[in-house]
Amino acid sequence: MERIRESLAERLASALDLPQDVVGDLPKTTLIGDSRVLVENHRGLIRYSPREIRIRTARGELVVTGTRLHIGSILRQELVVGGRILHIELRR
Amino acid sequence: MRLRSVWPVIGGYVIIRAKGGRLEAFINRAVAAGVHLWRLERIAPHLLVARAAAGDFPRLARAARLHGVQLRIVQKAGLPFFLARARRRHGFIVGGALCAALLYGLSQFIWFVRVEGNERLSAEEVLAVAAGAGLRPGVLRDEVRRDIVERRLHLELPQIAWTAVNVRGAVATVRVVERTGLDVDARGPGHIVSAGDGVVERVTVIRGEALVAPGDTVRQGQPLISGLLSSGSESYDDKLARGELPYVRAEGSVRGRVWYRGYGEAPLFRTIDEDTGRVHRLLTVRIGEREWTFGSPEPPFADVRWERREGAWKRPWDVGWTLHVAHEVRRLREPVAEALAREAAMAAALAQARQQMPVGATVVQEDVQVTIDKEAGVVRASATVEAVQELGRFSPVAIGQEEG
Repeated sequence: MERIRESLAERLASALDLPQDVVGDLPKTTLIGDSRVLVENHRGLIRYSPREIRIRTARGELVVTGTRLHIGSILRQELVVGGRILHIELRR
Repeated sequence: MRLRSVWPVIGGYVIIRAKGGRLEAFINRAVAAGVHLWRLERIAPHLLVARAAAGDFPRLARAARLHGVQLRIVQKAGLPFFLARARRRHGFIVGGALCAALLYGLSQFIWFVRVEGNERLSAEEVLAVAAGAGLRPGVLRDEVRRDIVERRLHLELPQIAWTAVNVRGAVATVRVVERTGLDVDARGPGHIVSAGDGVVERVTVIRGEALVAPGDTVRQGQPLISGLLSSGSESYDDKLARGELPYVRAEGSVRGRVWYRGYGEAPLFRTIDEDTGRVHRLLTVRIGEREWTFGSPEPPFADVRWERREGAWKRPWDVGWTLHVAHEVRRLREPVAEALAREAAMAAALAQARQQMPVGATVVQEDVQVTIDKEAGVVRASATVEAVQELGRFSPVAIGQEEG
């Protein structure tokens, strides 16, 4: 049911030419240089270490790897990862 | 600085240390409960340091209990905690208040006096006169009477044409403008000569001998009151008896009528530019010192109105652009009411005539002649303004030269 609702929302957003992240809770990831990643619409932390941060999202697991990683800020909808970012991957 | 980063400092925040095996679950629980955590650092696999608003601590403690995490406050920071500490430290408060009072007290005095605008006058001379009038370092700001200082400067330093005293904080600035072309020896002998052409109306002699009488026509530069005493007069004999040359500094007033002429014209048509809607663009892009131009600099229109738009950045790179837009216009000729053109031409002619008059001249009569030149499409006006004014100006005499 959840999947159908999400799919419908995505199609509606596409038909109305709206950004996908506005409709529903699709994650939006912004990389700023190599020192900051902003993840909007996250669903919580899975694992947090200075070399790897795994974040749960509606589209799977977002894995940020790097060195001296830390969480700059975490709110219900928004999460900021700082440190030296080397790699970002979405695992389904 | 974002509000989100300022608010915790105002509202107070805590630095916490969380110890346990399920720290991610603890964070998720806390965040789900509405807690904002920031600067989370994983010190060790079982140890986490983070910051949270002081008011969120009970919710954090609840989340910690649920996940078996040991929670400890490492530090309390922000304004409420700072104030609470300050309340216990009376010396700190008293010291702060004393410091503020001292600063306030010191700011009530003038500590520096500067002189601006002086060229031939030395700053020391100006400062000495200002100090005599009560403006010197160490005086209370409220005790300085600016009008008195300004007046004293004018009286004691005749080289000053204008002065203003400005007090800003602990600094007082004396701005001076010196007279230009001032006769250095303002007491030397000389004549009163005519400053322009005119007819003498009234002659008042204070010192010297009148050379003209009411009704006389005088030319520019002509002597009006002589500083050279004529032989046989009492003062002439006195001067010679003292072994001095028979010269005085002529003083007096010679008022007379002077005529000023002015010319003005106004068109009988005016042109109005109407956009046709056709445009031609010319773009210039600049990176550092280099420039590239796109488009022809000559627009393919006969009559244009130019519009310029531009943008420039210094950071991160020194780049800029300029867009010149040439709008094609249609020039339309529209007639102007003759009465209006007449008025404008007359006003321009009178303004030009009056502009030549010195300060203090009184207008006695004005006369304007208007001619309408239909062929050239203009109204021409010539004005004559008759004024009564001071005709004389002092002209020093180099005695050695005149005698020879």
